[in-house]
Amino acid sequence: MKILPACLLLLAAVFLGGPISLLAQTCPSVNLVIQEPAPTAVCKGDGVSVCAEVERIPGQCKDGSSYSYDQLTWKWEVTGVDASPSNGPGSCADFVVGSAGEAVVMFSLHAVASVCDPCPQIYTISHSFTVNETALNISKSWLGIDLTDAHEVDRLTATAWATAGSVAWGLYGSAGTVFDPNPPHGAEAVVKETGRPSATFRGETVSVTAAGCSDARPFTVVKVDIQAGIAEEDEEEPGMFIGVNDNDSDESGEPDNTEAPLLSEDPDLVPVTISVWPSDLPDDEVITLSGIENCYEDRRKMTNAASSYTMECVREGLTLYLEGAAPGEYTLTAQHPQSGARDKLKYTVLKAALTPDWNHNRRIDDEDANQASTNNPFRFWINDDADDGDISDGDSDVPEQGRKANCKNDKIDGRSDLTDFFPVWLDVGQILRQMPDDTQVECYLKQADDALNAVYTDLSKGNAGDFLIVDSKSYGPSFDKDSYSAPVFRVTAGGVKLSEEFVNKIKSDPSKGVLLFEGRATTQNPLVLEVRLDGKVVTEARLPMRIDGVEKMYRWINLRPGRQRDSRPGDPANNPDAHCNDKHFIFVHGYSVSEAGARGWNAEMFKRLYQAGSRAMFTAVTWFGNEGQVTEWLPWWLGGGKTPDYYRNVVNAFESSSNLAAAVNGLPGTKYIAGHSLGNMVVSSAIKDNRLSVNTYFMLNAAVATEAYKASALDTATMRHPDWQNYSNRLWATEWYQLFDSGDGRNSLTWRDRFQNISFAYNYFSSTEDVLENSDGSVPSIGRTQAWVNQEMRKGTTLMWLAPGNCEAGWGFNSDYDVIIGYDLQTELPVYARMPPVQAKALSEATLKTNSFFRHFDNEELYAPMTGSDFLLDGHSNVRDSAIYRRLLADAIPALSNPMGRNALSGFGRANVDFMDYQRAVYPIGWPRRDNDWRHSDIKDIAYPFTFRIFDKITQDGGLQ
Amino acid sequence: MSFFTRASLGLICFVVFSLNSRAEPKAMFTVRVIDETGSLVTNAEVHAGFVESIKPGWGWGGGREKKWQGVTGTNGLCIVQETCQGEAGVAVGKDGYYWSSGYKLLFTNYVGTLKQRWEPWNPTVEVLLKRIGKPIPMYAKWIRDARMPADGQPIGFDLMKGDWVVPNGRGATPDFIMTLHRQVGGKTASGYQIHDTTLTITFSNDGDGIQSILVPPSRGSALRLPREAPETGYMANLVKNAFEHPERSSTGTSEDQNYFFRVRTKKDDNGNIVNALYGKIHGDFSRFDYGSLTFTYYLNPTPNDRNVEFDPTRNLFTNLSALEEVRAP
Repeated sequence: MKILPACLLLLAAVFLGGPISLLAQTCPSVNLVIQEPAPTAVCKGDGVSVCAEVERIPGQCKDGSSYSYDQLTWKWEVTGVDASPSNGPGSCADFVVGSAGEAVVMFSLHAVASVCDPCPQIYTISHSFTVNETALNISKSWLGIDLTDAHEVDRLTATAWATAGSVAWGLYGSAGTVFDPNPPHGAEAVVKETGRPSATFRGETVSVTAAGCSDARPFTVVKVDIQAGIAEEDEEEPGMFIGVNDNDSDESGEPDNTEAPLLSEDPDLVPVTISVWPSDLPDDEVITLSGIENCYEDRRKMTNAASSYTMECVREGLTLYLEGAAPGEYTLTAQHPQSGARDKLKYTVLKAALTPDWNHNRRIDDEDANQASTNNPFRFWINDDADDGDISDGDSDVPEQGRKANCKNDKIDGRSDLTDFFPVWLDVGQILRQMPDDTQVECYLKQADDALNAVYTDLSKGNAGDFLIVDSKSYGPSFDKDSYSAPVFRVTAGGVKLSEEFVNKIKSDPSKGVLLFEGRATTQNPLVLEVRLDGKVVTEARLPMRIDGVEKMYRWINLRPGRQRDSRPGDPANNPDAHCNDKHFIFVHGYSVSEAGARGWNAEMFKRLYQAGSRAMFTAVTWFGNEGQVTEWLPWWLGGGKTPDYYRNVVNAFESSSNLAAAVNGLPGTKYIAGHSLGNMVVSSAIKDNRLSVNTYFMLNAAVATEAYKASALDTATMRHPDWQNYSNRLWATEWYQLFDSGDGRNSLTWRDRFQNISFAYNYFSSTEDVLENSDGSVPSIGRTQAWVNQEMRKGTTLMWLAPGNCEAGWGFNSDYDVIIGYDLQTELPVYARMPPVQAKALSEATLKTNSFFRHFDNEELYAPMTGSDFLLDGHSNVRDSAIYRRLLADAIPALSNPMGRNALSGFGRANVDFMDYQRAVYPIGWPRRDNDWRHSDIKDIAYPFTFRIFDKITQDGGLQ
Repeated sequence: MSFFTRASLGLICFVVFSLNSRAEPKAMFTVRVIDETGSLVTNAEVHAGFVESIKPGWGWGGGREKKWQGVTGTNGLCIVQETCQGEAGVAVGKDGYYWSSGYKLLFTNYVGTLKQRWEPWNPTVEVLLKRIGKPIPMYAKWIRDARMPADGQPIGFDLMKGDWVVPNGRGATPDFIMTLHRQVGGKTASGYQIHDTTLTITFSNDGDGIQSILVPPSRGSALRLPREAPETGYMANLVKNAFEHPERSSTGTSEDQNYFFRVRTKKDDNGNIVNALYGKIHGDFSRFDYGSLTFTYYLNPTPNDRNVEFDPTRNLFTNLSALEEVRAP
C-alpha cells in the first residue's frame, strides 16, 4: 500500500516536469496526522479539542538541496454536528459540540515553500468522532408538601433522552426526596417528596447519565405549616376549639365579636403562626390564605388578614389571630401556589355561654342570651339574710346577718331561702357533644372572689325558674334532694370541677345544665366556665356580674323623723336605672315595723317582685309606724317590742303622707306604689291629700276602714260596739259629724269617703285575714286575731286604759248623761246609771253638738258652737292638714266598717284580688299553714314558692316585666 | 282622771297581766277522723300548727307555726296538746286519701294560775278524709280577667280550647254562651261607676246546663266537690247580677259557690241523652261587674263519663302559665 503514493508522485512528476526535471527537483511534502489523544466520543456540550500535526518531508531543489515547506497555513472545520465555533485557523480545533451526531474535524494545511519551487500544496486530514447526548426534563421544579389530612404526596416526573447507552439516575439534596419507584426504570423517573422541605431554594437535584453524558435539574421542596399549638395530626380532626368571642374584653360595652377595631388587645383572639420552608425562597414568592374572614394581623382587630403574603412577610413566620366570631366550623388554609404546599387548620367556634335568667321570667331563652356584658353585667344580691323553713321569722329577712347569713352555710335554708338564688344555664351541650369520645372533657367553674355558691339541678333552661315554684326531688349532686334543702358548693377562684354526672346530663340533653347560685360576697368579677379537653382549656364562658348587698339594688326613702338624711334617693349602685325599665315600684310597709324590720320588708318585697319578673326600679319607703314600741330589751311578757299605741301611728301615717308624696313625685319613671297594712293610710292620704301621682296603686292587706273608700260600705251591725246596740246611731261618735254642715270642719270627722274610690287602685285582700278579720259584733280580746277591729272598738272605752293613747269619744259614754235610777238605801246617795236608749234618743241635735252622748273629746273646744270648727282647723284652711283632726280620726272616731284588707269592695278601683285565689294550693303541698289561711303579713312571711302567683299577678297588673 | 293616773293604772294592770302569763297556756283538742262512709280512719297523720305572732317590730299578724304531729289511733282519734297563743290549725292526711286541711281552732280564754290552759278544753274537730278515687286528665284552666269581647252580645266559650270562639278567640265550639249586659249611669258620691250588670250563661244544646253546689273554699278535703257530676238537675241558664248604686252594691259572687255543668249534649229521638261531657267549676263566676270574667273550670273530655276528679299532673292543657294553672283536684 506504500507503493501507491510513490507511483502517483512519480506520475505527477513526469506529467508536470518531464523525466529530467523530475529527477532534478522534487517538491517537499508533508504527512498529516491527528495528535493523540483525539476523542472518539464526546457529549453534546462538551468542549472538544483536536489537534493535527504535520510531518514534513523535504523536497529537492534543482540544486540538489533539500527544502521543506516553510509556509504552513492550517484551517479546520467541524462538520456533522453543531459546533461552536465550527471552524477556525490553526492546527488545533477547540470547539463545543452543540448537537449529537457523527462529527468530523477536517484540518486543511496549505503548504508553500519559500525556496526552490514553492510547490504549493494543500493537505487535509480529518478526524471523526461521535457526539453523544443525554438530556433530562422535569415536569416541575417545585414539590409541595401537603400537611392537610389529604396528605397528597407531591411528585415530579423526570424524562431522560440519550443518544447512546443506558441511563443512570441520581437524586441529591437535603429534602430526602426519593424516586418512585426506586430505582426508576428506563428513561423516565418519578421523584416524590417525603415531607421534608429543602434546606435552600433549588436545593434538590435530579440527574441522569448515559454513555458518559449527564444532565441534571434542580428543584425545591416547599412546606407551609400553620402552627396553632396543637399537634399537626389534630389540626383538621378534631381541629382547634375556640370560644365565641362575645365577651367584652375591651370594656366597650359591646361584645367583642361585634366590633372592630377593639379598644384594647383582646386575649381571646387565638394566635396562629404560618411558616414556610425553605426560608430563602425568593421574595416574590407568595403564600395565599383562605378562610380568613375572622382572622386578623393584630389582637385589636385593626387589620384583617390578607389573602396573600410575600415571602418577605412570611420568611420569619407570620402570626395572625383568629377570632371566634360565631359558632360553627371554619377552616383556615395556607398555600404556596407554586409548589402546592399547603396546610389547613379547622377551628370550631364553640358557643360556651353562661346565660342567666336575665329578665327573671323563670325561663332562660333567647331573650336572655348575650345580654350580660362588662358594662351591663348581670346583677344580683348577696344571700345575707337568715331565712329558714317555709315561714319567715320576721327579722330573718333583714340583710347583713353576719355569721347567721344563709350564704355562710352549705345548704339551701328552706323554701324561704330560694328567692336568694338565681339560675344560670351552662350552654355547653353542643360543645360536649362535639368533643371526641376518647377525650376527657371537664367543666370547671371559677369566680375570682369566691363570691358564689352553686347548687346542682336537673332543671332545663325552659323551666330554670321552677325551683321557685315547684317542689321536686331533683337537686344536689345526686339529683335526689328537694330544692329547699339541697347542698351548695363553693365556686372558688381556683376553679371547681363540675361533677361528671352533671356534665353527662348536659351532654345527653344540652337544654339541661342549670345551676342555682347564691351570692356570698361582693364581687365585680365574672363567673367563668372553662371547658377542658384532656386538661387543656378549649373554651371558656364568662358571665360578667356584680354581686352586692340587696340594699344596693333599690332606693330608700326614710320618712322617720330626723332620719330623712339616711335616705338613699340616688341611682342604686347595683341596679342602676339604666338597667331597669321605665317603671318605678314603690313599697310602703305597715304598722309596728321598726326601722330594722323595714329593712327586712323592703328587701323581701324587692326580691319577690324581682323573681316574679319585675324589671321596674324599686324604692322602699320607711316611715314612723312603730312609735311607742316598747324596747326589745324588755322580755315579751313585759311588752318588749310591742307597739301598743296604734292610734299614734295612724296619726304618723297621715303625717308621713305629704313627705311621701313629695319624695315619690320626684322619682324617675312611671310610678307604681304598694302599701301594706297601715302603709295604705300613708299612701291613700298621699294620693288624696297631697297629690301623689302614680299610675297604679296596689293596696296590700289595707288596714283602713272600707268606708274610707266608699261611704256606703258600712258594717254597722257588727262594727258597732255591743254596748251601743240599743242606742240610736245619731248618738254615736261615728255620726257626730253629721250634726254639722259641710262648711264646718267638724263635718269631716268621719272615715266615710275619707279617700273615696281610687280608680287606679287594686285591693289585694285576704278573705282569711287574722289581724283584719271582720267583726262578729263582739269586742275581740286583745291579741292578733281581729286586732284591727279591736282597736276600732276600743276607741273611747275603758280598755284604752290598758294601753297608751288618748281615751276620747269613740264608744265611751258621756257620764254627763247618766241618770239617777234610785238611791242607796244606806247612804241615801243617788245611784246613777246610763241614760236609757229611749230617753237618749230624744236628745236634740243642739244638745248633742255641744255635749256629745259619747265620751267627750279631750279638747272641749270642739264643742264650742262658734269656734269649734276653727279649733279643729288649727290654723289650716283644709281640715285634713290639721294635726287635731288627724288625731281625732285616729283615736276618737271609730270605723263602722270592716277593714279593706279583708274584703272585696264592689266596684272599687280596677279590681279586688283575694290572696286566697293565688295560693299555690292548699296544705301540705301548696301552703305551709295547716289552716290554709293567708294571714296579714303572709305576703312577705310565707315562702315565695307558695306565694309566687300573687307576685306574678302584681307584676302583670303593673306591666312591670 | 289625768293621763298620768290612767297610764299608771294601765301599766300596773299590764304588769300583773304579764306576770300572770309568762308561759303560754296549754291547749288540748281531739281530732276525729272519718271517711266518706262515716267510718273512723286509723293511722291517719294529724298535723297541727300553732300560729305564733310575728316578732315585735317586724309587722303585724301571724308568723311562724309551732308544729305538732301525731296519728289517729284505732278509734280514729288523735289527742293534741300543746302550749300556744290560742290558735291552732289542723290538717290530716293518709296514703290513698286526699289531705284535709284548713281546720281552725280559736281558744277564747284561758284559766288557771300556775298551770294555765285554754278554754274550751279538749273540743273535738271532726275531719273528713276523702279517698283518692280515679283522678283523670281533664281540661282544667283558670280563666282570669278575660275581657268580655262585647257588651250585650252572646259570646261562645270553648272549654276544650280555653278561649272564646272565633272571631273573638281560637275556640270552635260554644260550650258556654255568655252574655254580659252592663248599663252604666253616673258616678256615686264616693266616685264609683253606677251600673247594673247581668251575666247570663246559656248553652248550645238541649240537655246542656249548669247546677249550683255550695262548698266553702280552703276548708276540708283537697277534693272540694263530689267526684261525680250529677246526672240530673242541670239548668239551661244561669243569671248573675251585680250592681253599683249610691247606697248599695253587689259583686254578684259568693265565696262558697261552685257548679257542675254538662255540655255538648246529644239526645236521641226519644229525648234520651246519648252523648254529653261533664265538668265542674271551682268557685264562682266573678269580676263580671268590671266587665271581665274570672272562673276556674274542669272538663272531662270522655263522653258520658261523669267523673270530675282531676289529676293535676295530667292537665290536658299544656303550657299554661302560672296564672292559668289549676292545682286542686
